[in-house]
Amino acid sequence: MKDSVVEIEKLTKFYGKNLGVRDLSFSVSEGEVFGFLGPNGAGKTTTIRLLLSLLYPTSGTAKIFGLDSVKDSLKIRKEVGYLAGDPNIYPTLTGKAFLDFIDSFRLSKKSDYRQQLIDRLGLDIKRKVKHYSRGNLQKLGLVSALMHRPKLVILDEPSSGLDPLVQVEFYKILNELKKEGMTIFMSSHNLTEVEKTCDRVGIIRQGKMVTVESIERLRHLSLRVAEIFFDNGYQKEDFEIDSVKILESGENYLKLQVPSRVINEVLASLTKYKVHDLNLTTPDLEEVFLQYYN
Amino acid sequence: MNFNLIKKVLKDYRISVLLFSLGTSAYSAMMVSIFPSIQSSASDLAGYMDKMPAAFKEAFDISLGSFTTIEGYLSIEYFSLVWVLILISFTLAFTSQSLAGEVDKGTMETLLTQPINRLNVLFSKSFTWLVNILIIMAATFIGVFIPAAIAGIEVSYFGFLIFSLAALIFFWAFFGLGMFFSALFYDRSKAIFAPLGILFIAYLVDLVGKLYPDFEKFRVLSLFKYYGNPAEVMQDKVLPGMDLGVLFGVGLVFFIFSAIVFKRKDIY
Ligand SMILES: Nc1ncnc2c1ncn2[C@@H]1O[C@H](COP(=O)(O)OP(=O)(O)OP(=O)(O)O)[C@@H](O)[C@H]1O
Ligand SMILES: [Mg+2]
Repeated sequence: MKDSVVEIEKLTKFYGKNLGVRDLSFSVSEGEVFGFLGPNGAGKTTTIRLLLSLLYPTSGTAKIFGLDSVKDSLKIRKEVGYLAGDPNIYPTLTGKAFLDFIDSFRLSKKSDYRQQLIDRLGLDIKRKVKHYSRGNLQKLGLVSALMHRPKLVILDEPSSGLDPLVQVEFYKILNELKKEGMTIFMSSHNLTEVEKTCDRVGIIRQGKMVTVESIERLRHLSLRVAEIFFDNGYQKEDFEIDSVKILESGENYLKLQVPSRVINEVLASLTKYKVHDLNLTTPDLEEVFLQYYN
Repeated sequence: MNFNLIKKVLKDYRISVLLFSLGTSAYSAMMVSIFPSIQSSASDLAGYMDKMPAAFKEAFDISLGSFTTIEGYLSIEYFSLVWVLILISFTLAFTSQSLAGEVDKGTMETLLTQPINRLNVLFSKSFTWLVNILIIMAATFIGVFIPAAIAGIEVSYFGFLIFSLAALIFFWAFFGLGMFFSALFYDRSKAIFAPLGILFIAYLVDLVGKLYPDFEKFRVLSLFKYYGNPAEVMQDKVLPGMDLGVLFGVGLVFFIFSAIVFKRKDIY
């Protein structure tokens, strides 16, 4: 088990009487890409702001690199890149002036990585931020978050506003950084993106964590749909297995909903018969996610 | 303090500081250049002044010296109120923007997620205010000195220096108040109107206290009382220590409050 880069324990935040998040506990290990999902108002941004000590927790703790998010915030921020959900950047600065300003806070390891990111995302940094489109603002925010190659990046809906081509480039960049060992914590509403980039996901709803699973396990836990075509009929009773649901049935046709853990039992029953064709489908991960949303 | 942040904020304010400097120095120059004609008609004014109620004269610090000496004249026409309002306006525009304004616009989130701590942000911005206000004050006085030298009017540089210290401490009190409300509130307009309201009430309490003896006792509550009469400070060339102590203390207490509040503030 690798070290935990982010470790959240019983984190609770109330905005006055309004609940932000409640009793949140989970951790993100080193080098992992962790997706943070959930419906609007679930508490994703709240959690992220707590990690960065923009908000003070009502109770509970968050640790980053083993350091306390409140007490050691300054030390933590030296190694963290951050992209806000709604990046607010000084409107009167040019893109370049903003990046220089951000640079000035760190003992900059001079590298050409910044320029690489700018080129790859197709950003014009000579213009003033107030004239940027939403997507270009997002790109500028991304460059500022990634350009120092911090140990941990926290991204709040990183691909919002990006056109599909830029999104693809952005996923490539993320994958490269992941290979270099960067830990990435990102919230997202884009399930395809999560599927493509994340190792594990946490799904939060109404301020509470509903599940934390690896993408593979999520797929695995999900229900399969089996369509079976028989040559000479079958006995329906043979398929009345616990937690298997018969969706459709015909003389030589059967459609079942099968949790993957009981797939063996279904196969065992099948051996009695002459099977003409078998079709086993995994539902979209999207459907799996949505199960958790409501 | 963070040099990069100071540099940025100085740059943000360079146009405003330039405009305030030009404005206040032009006003100074204009006042000084018409002084000789005022001075020569002082005897007419003396007759006019005799007819004014004593309390009124006292309330506005009007004496014959108000029109025969450059200090008295500038004090009543400029440094007692107009100039103070201009510099406090600058100060409150600055303080309200520094914390509440940046939180309001969301740029505080960007700033505070960099490796800089909150007190450092507060101190760096405060230092920038000090630099800016000193530039504007210096411009105001240069606007007095140059036309005075040209017109052959004698002014005491040392008197002005002493006065500038007193004025700075007065502005510091409002800076502290401004920062406190800026740390407290989430929107910029509240952060500007709360201290502006205090300024207005302070002025009123001081004025009413001077006009009506019954209300004299309330003047201690007004920051304006401690600012006193600029002409006296310039001419006596001594700092009214007690009064300035009160102003400095008020500024310091509220500045410390602002640090405490800002440090614990939820930024969203
Ligand atoms: N400043 C605030 N004052 C009061 N309540 C707030 C504030 N910010 C957030 N909340 C509440 O906290 C809860 C979580 O909000 P949060 O912004 O963390 O959601 P989110 O998961 O990021 O949503 P989205 O997907 O829309 O970005 C919501 O119910 C919201 O109403
Ligand atoms: Mg959000």
